[in-house]
Amino acid sequence: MEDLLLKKLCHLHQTSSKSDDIIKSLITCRALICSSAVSESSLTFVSTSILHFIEHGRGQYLPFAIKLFSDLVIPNPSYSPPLIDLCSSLISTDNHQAEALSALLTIARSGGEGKLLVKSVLKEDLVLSLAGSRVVSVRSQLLRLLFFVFLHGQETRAAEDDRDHAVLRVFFGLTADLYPTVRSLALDGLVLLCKKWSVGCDVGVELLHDDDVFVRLSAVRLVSGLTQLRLETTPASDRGKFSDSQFLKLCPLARDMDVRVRVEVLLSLEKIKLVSEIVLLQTLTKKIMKVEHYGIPISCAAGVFLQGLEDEYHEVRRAACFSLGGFVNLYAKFSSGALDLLMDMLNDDSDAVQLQALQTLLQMAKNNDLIAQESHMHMFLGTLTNIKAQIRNAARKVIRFTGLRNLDLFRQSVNALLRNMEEYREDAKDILSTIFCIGKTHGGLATRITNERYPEIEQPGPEEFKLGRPRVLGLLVLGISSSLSNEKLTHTFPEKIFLYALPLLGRISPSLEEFISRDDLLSFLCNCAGLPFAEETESPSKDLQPVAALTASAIKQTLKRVSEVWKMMKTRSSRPPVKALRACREQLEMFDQNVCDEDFTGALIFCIEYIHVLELVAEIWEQMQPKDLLIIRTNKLDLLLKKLEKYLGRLRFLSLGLTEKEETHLLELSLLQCALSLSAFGSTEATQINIKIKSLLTRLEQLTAREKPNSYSWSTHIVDFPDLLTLEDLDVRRGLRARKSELRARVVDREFPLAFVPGLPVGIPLDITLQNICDSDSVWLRMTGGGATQYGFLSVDRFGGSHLGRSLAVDLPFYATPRVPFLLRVVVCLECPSGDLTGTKSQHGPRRETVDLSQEVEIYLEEVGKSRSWC
Amino acid sequence: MAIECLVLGAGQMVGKSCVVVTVAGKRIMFDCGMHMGYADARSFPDFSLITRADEGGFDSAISCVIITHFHLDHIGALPYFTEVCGYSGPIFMTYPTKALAPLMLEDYRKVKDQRGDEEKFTSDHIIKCMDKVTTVDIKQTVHVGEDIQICAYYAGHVLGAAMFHVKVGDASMVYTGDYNMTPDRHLGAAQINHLALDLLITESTYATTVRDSKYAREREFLKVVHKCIYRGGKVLIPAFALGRAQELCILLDDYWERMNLKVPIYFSAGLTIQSNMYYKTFIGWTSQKIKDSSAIKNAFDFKHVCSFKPSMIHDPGPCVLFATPGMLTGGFSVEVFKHWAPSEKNLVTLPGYCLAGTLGHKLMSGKATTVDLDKDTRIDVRCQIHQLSFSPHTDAKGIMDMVGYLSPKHVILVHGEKPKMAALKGRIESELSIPCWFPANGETVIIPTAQWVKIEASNALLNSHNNSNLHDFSTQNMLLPTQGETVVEGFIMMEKGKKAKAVHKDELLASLSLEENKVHFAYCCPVKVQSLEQMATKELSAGTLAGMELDEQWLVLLFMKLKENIHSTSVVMGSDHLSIGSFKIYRCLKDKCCHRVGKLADPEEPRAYFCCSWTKEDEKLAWRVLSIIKD
Repeated sequence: MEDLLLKKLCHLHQTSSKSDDIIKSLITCRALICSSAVSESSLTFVSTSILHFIEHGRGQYLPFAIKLFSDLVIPNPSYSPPLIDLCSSLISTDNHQAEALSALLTIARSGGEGKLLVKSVLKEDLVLSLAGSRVVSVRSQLLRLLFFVFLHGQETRAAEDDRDHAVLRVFFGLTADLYPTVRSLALDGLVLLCKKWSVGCDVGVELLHDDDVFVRLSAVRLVSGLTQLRLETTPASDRGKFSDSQFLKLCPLARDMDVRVRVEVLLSLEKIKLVSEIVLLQTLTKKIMKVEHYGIPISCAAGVFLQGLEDEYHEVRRAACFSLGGFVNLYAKFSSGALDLLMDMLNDDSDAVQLQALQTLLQMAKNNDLIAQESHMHMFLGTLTNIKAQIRNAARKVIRFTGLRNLDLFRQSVNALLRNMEEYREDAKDILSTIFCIGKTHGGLATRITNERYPEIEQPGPEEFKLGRPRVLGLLVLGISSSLSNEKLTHTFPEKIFLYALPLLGRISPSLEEFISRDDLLSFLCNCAGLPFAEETESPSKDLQPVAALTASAIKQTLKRVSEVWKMMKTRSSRPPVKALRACREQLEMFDQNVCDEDFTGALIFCIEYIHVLELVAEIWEQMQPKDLLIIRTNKLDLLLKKLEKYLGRLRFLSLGLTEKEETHLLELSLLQCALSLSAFGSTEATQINIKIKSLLTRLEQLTAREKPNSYSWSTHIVDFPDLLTLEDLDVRRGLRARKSELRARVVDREFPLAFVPGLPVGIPLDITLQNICDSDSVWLRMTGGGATQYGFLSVDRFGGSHLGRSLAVDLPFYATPRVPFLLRVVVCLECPSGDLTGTKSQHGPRRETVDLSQEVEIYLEEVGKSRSWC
Repeated sequence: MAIECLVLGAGQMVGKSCVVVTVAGKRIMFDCGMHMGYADARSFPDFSLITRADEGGFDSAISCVIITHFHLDHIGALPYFTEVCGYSGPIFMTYPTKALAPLMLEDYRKVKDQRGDEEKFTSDHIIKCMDKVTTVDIKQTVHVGEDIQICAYYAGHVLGAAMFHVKVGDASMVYTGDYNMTPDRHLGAAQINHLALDLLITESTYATTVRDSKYAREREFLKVVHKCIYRGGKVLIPAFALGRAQELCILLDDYWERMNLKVPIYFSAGLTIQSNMYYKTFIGWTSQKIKDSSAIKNAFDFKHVCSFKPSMIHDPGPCVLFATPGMLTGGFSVEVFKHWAPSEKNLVTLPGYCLAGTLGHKLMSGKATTVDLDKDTRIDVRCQIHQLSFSPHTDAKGIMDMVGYLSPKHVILVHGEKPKMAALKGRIESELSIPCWFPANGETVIIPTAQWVKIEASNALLNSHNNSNLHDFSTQNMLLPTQGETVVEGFIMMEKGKKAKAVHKDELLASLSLEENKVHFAYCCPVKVQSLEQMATKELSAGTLAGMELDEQWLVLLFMKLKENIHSTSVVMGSDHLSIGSFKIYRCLKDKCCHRVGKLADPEEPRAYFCCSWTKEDEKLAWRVLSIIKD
């Protein structure tokens, strides 16, 4: 069969063949090429036949023959050299240049060596002469070929190539071509070209108003691409102005009559970061704000997002929802305006738009920007009852993170969720989990609602068994959530709630899996209900107390979130997410540190303080940004830096069981703090800071020398933000402990101040407990009052108990009593064994720097005799 | 050439839209509406202002009439104009307009009839008038006679509303009629192409108003309706049959579907159901969403909507009812209102605007506790009243966007209030730098148009388009913005009776059927034999010239010399001549050559003559070669 077919190819070799025969032969060739069972030799014969035909054949069939040959090359790249030779000879003549270029493109795409071979054919002269070709298809094919060969898949600038300049010339030159296809292709190429060579330029702006839709599309892509590129090279002080001007250039196109252009513009707008608030606010209203901004009228931005959201086409509305997401976390005022619009989009008739709106809302909620208003609630909670499961799911996700300001909003949400339980039983698991989540974050409100609704849970009589009702289930979960978040709240409920929940454990526990395991829940419920918990149910997590288990999962989730936030800040170079970090910290702070297992307390404290440090870093960074980026100075920079230093010290010296990696990271952060202080305070404290840097470096080198013999390359590290410690895998059970102390004055009542005789020492009665302090630690008591500071050494031996917990009741003398009543501040502090030497020469006091172990306690002192006079 | 624009109606007012435009002797009438506020002659445009061409009447005066949509203020005077005034020329409108217009006209006539007012036209007139109508589709170009081209574009506003692009010769204009730039649920936004326009005549109902998002209003509406039915109340929505009823119904039907609500929505029988049929038929004229989903489900087949029987007024349980007429002026909606108003649970949703004197207006103007329907009926109004404004006209931002997008050379505003139009005119002139007018009724604006001569360009010329950027490209200006100018060189040929044509220089001769003539320069150049001989002896000794004739020898010598001096490979040696480009050198053996100029040299001195010829392009080269030869 194959031979029979091969024989038919003879017409290709004869110059006098008829047209019909030639067509048949060519069709036969195609059949052979397409067949997978053709032998290698036959293919070779086919290729030589076609080649022969092209070289000697008649012009009218040449395009087909060339196409055929290039199709042959796709599965068999070994045939590309003859085709390349053929193409290069065809290109040098005036005929069939376009076909030849298209064949070259096929070769380049066939992979392997193809691309390199084609690249070798494209000489500089050839490229330029082809670009000046009169035939439009040659120009467009050339652009496609150059695009693929020189730009595709090469994001960064490869080795210097002589032809690069010619390629750039061609792409630039052809942006002014008469034909829209060529213009569009050239613009598309320029985007990559400029990225590859990191050159930024202002092309494309005038083509934004081209008559052809595709040229406009390409121009929009180019302008947004170049904007991103140039933002990186623009000095920080000009960035705001530059991105505003680019943003405003794109805005008029958001009212284009073509849907594709509108979508592209809205998506491109999202990519321009750092747009001023005033410009963004203008995009939310059609009413023109009479503001001149950097000398550019902002009226063209009027209602861009609003009209995008009102668009007839769901693609545009969806793009607008998506695009809003890029800006919602930037400014509070814009955010609340966008929130109103997004909430309205939940009433859209397209599911895709609703989902995207929910997605954007989720983004806002995660950043703590979603504060629900009364006016939103109807539409927002309405989505919970949407007929589409996907939308219901997305809506519940948003609710989990929504800030519900008052009892009314919280009640509405809980009611909606409870109704939801009844209407969509298939969603029960997710709904319960959502109720648990909002109950946990709004502990107090949840308690009030549960107590309010208690009669619903209460069984009225044996004949009416209500417990199985989904509504009741929801209420029980709400009660459990609030008491799990804070054990103190447990006592505000009737015990019966927990008792009722016990038989429903099987239905409740699957929903709460991500927060607490079934056994832990059981033991918690038994505990609260006052039942003995059967210890036989041995399980791997048995040693975890329920609250602790909850803590563990919360810590994990929060840390994950923190690292996401940090990553976002590093990559997007947007406003530091102080708010988001604060939200994370607050979430962890809600856990009662005292009820947890010792192990967890350590981890919890560590995490809270660590996030606090990150928060400070972010805040400092924000302060150090150029001022035109609308930053409101709330805290003084120096105060923040001091605060950061203090917190870093606490983290470093009070945490026991830090790994080397963690310590290194903390040291790096300290170095960063020093560097920032140097730049902020300048020479005033330079010597002191330098000493600190030196000691930090010594410690760092000690640490890294153990791992790697090479010395620590610190210089590169403190220039930029340090990478975040991979806290996700922080093992909360591995024994991270915090040194801690509690200090209590036995007489601390302002009504009855302590009496003293001026000039004579006065004994201060104190109860001190120490945790995780070993015998070798030196603990001091710092007393500050009446303008004097006095240290008292607390010998650890005098304390009773083990290193896990020691306590002591002691009367410590304060010597420098002034002549007037005064306030004495007392705090227990730890002398850091590896800390820096302090400059103070005082004999009675720590020689190295100290960190506070306890909260400061204030004690009021009054002169003897006077103290009682007014009582 | 100029465009003469005579405004017969809707000049500095809203109502009786009618604009007559004259270009190059062709006269086109846009819209032929009536004013609903007047019952006398003022209700119709003053057709007498149209200059009639002798006895031919309106037929010869007006080339065609274009109607944008079926509202009475745009079509109300048409039967009068055709049947009473006697115009019988072509009338253009879209399919839905033609379908719905008779309903509207008939409805109006009936009302007039009931009131006992004087009838301006009869039912027969309406039918006969509609027979003369030619229908057009969106983006369909229609030719009227030789010179007029009409093309309709989608305008939103109401079902079948269109904007018309009219070209008379080279003059090009758009008359928008009423349009909406913000899409509704049931109708799309206006859409038009980039057109090169001399004149844009646009409506300006909301010349200064900027509307905020309609979503907030919709949200409020859905909230009150949902709350009402949740508590078991009944919702009455008095609405006009076309437009608002469908819009709200789609909104509710969609909400019902999503929220999985089971409460019935009713349409009171009559026009509403009938008009829904029209919407179903003309589904292609509705919004994108409805068009997209029409294959699966016709959006006007409302899933939750059923028709309402008067006996159901007292049925228990919640429901939503759409009832005509819109402003509670009487009829069924008032009948229902009578029964439902006393209950606190119920809700009445009124449109944003109610005429003074109607029940709707009374309810809106204050919290009325009792309403006297007539002498005997007094109703306690305890139900809730909710207002939902809904306008299918574009706002100021939309007008500016439209004008900005089309960028015409001139703008005329109609269909608006005078002070607001003045404000808008100011904005158009200052922000967009486009001259703008808002003539009053009966005024004429004359707009100059530049005479454009269209020329055809040959393919060769287009292909030859020379990319200036590519050629002027050098490293220095590499990163400058592109110039955006493309240079094409060619010739413009203008012949009597034919269109002007631009051709490429190569085609010029062929198209003129002329042969190419070239100017040749010729000069017979004397060379001293002496110097040649000196050279010859030198070469002879080298043996290169052996066996050559004298003439040949001299040419060879010259060849060698030129080669030495010009350093070019372009010097070619022919059998009897040398050539460098177009420069050719022959040995001249004539005694008297006509190309020998200048004074005759000393006859004693032996000279050899070389005849040289060249074309203009090689002039510089020629002089260089000649100087070499002479040496």
